[in-house]
Amino acid sequence: MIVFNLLAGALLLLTGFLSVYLRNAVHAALALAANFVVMGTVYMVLQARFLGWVQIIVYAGAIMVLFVFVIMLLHAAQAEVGFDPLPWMRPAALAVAAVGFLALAWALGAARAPLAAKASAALLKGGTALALGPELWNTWRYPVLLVAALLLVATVAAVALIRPGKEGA
Amino acid sequence: MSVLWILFLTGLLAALAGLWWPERAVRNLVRAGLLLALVWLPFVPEQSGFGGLFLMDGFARALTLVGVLAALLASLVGSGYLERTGMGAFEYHALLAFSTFGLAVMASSANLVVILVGLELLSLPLYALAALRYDPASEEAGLKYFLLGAVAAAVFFYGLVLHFGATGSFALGAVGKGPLFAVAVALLLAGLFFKAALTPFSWWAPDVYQGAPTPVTLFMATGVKAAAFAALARVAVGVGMGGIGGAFLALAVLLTVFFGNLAALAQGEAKRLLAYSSVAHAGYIALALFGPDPAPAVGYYLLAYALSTGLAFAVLAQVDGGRGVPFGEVRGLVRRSPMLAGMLLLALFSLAGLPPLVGFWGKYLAFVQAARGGQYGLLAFALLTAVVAAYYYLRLLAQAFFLEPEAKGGLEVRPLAALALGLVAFLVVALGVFPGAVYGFFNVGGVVP
Repeated sequence: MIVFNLLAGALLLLTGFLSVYLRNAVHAALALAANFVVMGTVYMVLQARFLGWVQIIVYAGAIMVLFVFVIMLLHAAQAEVGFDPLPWMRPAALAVAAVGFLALAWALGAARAPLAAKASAALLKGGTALALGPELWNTWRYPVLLVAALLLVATVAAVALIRPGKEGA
Repeated sequence: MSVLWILFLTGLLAALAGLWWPERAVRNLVRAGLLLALVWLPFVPEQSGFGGLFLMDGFARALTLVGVLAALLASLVGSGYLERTGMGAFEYHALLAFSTFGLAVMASSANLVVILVGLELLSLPLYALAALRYDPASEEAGLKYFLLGAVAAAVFFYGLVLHFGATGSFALGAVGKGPLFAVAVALLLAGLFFKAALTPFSWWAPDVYQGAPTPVTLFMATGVKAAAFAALARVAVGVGMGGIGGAFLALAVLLTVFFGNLAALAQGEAKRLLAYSSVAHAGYIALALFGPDPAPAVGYYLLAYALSTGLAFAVLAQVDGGRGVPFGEVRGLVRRSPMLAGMLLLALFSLAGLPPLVGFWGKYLAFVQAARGGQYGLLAFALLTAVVAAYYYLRLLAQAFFLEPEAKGGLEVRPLAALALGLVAFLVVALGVFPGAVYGFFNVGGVVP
């Protein structure tokens, strides 16, 4: 278990860094896909099996394919734009990330899971679709409906942004 | 629930009808929908549904009313601007309706998950709206708003997850303690500070307000702020203002009133000036959260602020030809249109908090809450900065009243826009003289069940 934790943590960090630092956008996208796959296995080990499979099928599968397609179609593989508009931002961002990481690690290390969280973990029965479905469609029906509306709104907003006919666009 | 249905169906019908109907018909459809929601809201009973996830209490009703009012104003005064800048498309109205729906969702829940979805429902249409003029300034505004907004939503999400880890609940008001809860509270507040434009997280506001189309800026400054403060009040009261939440908020208020007002002094562009002023006002509203009974002060301040700043942006939307409103465009406004200049005067005096205009009562209520909460140091500092604020409002007014105009010729204001402007100006004065007329609607008790 300890070996898995260490390995998964190292892989998550590595793929995360790679997807930020790789110069070629296709390579970065592939690193992100690898990150999603590792994340999916972590979910499964944490007894969230349905979520783990969704993570792999939807994120590492569907979304990443779309991503790579868009990068190819737009000839956007080269991430270098020629200049860095905010050169001092890189070290500052690293410093903020390090401080945030330490604060989170400290807070999580000192925390004990409250009873309510433990109770709901038991209710999920290993996080299969069988256990998750009723929870999602009964208790959390309202946010699920709202997310449906959100996807529709996002589509309308995206289509509004590419409205043709202006300035030869 | 009924109000949410009205707003959602309005957006849905507008998005569909835009394919066949002319822009004018879609515009009227959206206005009718928003008006229906506005007149229906006061009669909506207090209710909750979906096991408490949906919560239409008095506070939600009051802030939704402010948001719908802002959207209606943005729709009414916007069409002239849309046609002048060649962006007269039905998408503006459809997205405005959707954004108002998100605002209502966000205001009427005390559950973090629903608040997050509402936040996205409110924001996604706004990102597109900010970029809808299709020129570099507008696209920059849209992209900047989108990138920083996405980060803020992610920060809020982090906070939500840690809140569950610390308390075992997504509902606000759940008791928690320890470092994990403190980190959760800090992240939740930081995410909402961004939307409300409180200072460590407000650097986007001037650029976005200046670059976005002026009617969209109007909605951002009024409706979005109402939604952000609806959530912020629930989170702040829900997690308690005793521990790190109170300290974090006090620091944000201090920085906000200081930087907002100071930076506004140096501006030469009217939209940018009002953006900094809107940052400063967010600080004054947040002062009310320290009090024992924040709901009426927050609600009434937001109404007063939405009316005053909405009126100011509405005037600027009539002046703006699509390239923003540098002071040169405002210069000599009184010669070109005495009516607009008079309304700008009312709006800015109200924003400065001069009695007997509505802005005075908003400030009064917020400051009283801060005093009752024992925040005398913050209060004194905020009062000092409010005096500074009067200077830059007067500076803008001096441009409009005492200088010769650069552009010749009068300004054409459409009849409906003139009607809306007149009504809002009337409210700014009438609610200033008779503040009790609507105070009861905002005096609603608690914000967390």
